[in-house]
Amino acid sequence: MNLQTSLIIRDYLRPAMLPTTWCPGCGLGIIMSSIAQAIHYQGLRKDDVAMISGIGCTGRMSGYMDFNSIHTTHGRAPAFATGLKMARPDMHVFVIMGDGDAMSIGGNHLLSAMRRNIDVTAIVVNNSIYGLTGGQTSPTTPRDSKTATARHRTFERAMELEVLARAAGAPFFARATVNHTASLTKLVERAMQISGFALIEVISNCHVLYGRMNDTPEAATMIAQMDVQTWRSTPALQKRAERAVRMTAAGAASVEPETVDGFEGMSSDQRKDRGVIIENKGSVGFSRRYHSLLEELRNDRRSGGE
Amino acid sequence: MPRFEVMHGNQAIAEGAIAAGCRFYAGYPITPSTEIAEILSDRLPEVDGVFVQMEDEIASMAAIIGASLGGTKSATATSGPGFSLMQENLGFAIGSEIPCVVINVQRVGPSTGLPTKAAQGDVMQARWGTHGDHPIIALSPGSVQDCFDLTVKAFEFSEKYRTPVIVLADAMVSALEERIAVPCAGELAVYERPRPTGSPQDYLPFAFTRGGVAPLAPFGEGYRYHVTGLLHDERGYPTEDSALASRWWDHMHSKIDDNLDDILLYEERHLEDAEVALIAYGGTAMAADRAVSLAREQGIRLGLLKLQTIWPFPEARVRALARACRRIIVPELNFGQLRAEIERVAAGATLVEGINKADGTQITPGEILEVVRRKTGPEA
Repeated sequence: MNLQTSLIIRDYLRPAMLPTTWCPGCGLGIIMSSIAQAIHYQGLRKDDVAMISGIGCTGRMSGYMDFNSIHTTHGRAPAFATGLKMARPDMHVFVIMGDGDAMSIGGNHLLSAMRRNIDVTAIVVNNSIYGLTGGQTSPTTPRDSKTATARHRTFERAMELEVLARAAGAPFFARATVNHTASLTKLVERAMQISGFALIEVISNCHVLYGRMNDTPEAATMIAQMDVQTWRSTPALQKRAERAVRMTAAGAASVEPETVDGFEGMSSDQRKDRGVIIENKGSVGFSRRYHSLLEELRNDRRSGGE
Repeated sequence: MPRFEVMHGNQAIAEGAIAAGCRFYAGYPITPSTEIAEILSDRLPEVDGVFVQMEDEIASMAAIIGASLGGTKSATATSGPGFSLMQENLGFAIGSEIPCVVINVQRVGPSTGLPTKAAQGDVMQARWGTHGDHPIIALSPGSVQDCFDLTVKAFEFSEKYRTPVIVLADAMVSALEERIAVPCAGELAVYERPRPTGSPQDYLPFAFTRGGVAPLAPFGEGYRYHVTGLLHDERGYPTEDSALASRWWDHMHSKIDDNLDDILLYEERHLEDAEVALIAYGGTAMAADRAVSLAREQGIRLGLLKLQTIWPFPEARVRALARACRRIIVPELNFGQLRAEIERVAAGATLVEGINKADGTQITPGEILEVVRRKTGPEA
């Protein structure tokens, strides 16, 4: 089930802020559409939703969406969100970050927000590159890629968000791609049920910068790669999911779906769930815990006053 | 009737914040401000408020902006190294006009410096620490009573002018214990954030009003709007239109410059007939005040202008003083940060000199008096 694009634009975007700054073929529009749909299907009032983003191409998303929105500083969105959520515990707070935003300059904030378990739904859009500034190396750029600041090749290992999420104790972690929009929408809806820090990594494509420098200049080619790579992180194939899905450097386009085994025979229900890697339904978020303390104290004061 | 209590400066700041209606605090431990956090972690939940210990000062500053957008009066406290980390998001709050209060209990710097020793070295950082031109308000408490009163004022100014306000305290006043008057409930005029009354469709959260600000709607109450660190139009939408940018600057500067009568706080003592005037602020003003008493006992016509508001700088008052007295002496626990500003304003109308150090010791009344006597004696 998909909402019509015209309805999403009319009801959930700010027409005066459009068109977006995003390049044709960029996955960010798909992600924005999925988030809007998830909020729509969950039946939230727009007044009750906050969209908090950092800096970069992904950071622009909060401005396009017609919610209470903050386009914060680079990497700091989880900290802004922490303050807002604590002041407005009834609001549903989304945090939208890019890979450099979340894992490089904002790494400490992301780790601490997960450890603190602040009640937000967080989306990290991972396109393996710094897009807005022109294609520089990001913490998720695969080793041996070419970037604007690694004209020969990169030497560093790509960071794996899943491992960070595990280490910091995030109660929900899922991975999706812009090639699986129905699944992405479902994952966002599912993350929204969690009390605490629910994180979704969305693999997206920057064919214009990453792709052009690494022999996959077409959006379609990059997105086709995701179809292959994502299968490695389904629950059914979790044992194989030791490594994070990522856009590999040159040569990945030659991988054919048939060469990835184990996908055949998955039921459609399993497909819907694919991508959920950590899910702790019993989690109680920081805000909920803190506000129950405040309620206890209020009750104590009331009974003390009688 | 106020009640009288003995407390130290950090406690007075914490109690002042609660009295002013602060209900959200985010911070990171740092000497010599840590007691503020410790006290508020206990006190805030008692008044239905929230305390969060963040991962660092960058995040603390971010969190208080987020909470303020939720409609809650918010504050953080730190010292020099943490204040350096806060500059990025301090600029965000200035540019997007989000009320909040930042308390900096100064210690000797640069870097880790002398963590437990008082200094006043962050005067210029309070003014220009974040990048780009910007208006700012900074208040400097010169007693434990000031710690309480100026913290209350800081919240008032931050809400009234939609700006971060810095309480530039120092380890002299923060660790000092004094008997202060604490207003009882209902005695204190607490400034509440005005709310928009028009329809959400017509709401301009960042209206380029001259000399004033638009009411700031809390998130979640029907006025959905966008907040960004980018230069924006009156709706909050990013723009690169230079005509709009120029109107924005006019608004940003005039909201402070047109309200100096309200913002500039200072106290005067014996200035009416003073030949020599001291200009002092923060903990150093206590020594200056005592030096005036000692000088008067000896028949020296010494006066004191004690600045409570240091930014914006009280230019008109200092200029008038420079024309009225033969000499201005500025004791500071730095190497002349505010003195340079006084010299600029005095523009040669009088002699301006400093008493300066940042070695971890304090400037005593005796040291000030000695300089005054040397300058006013027969050989001067």
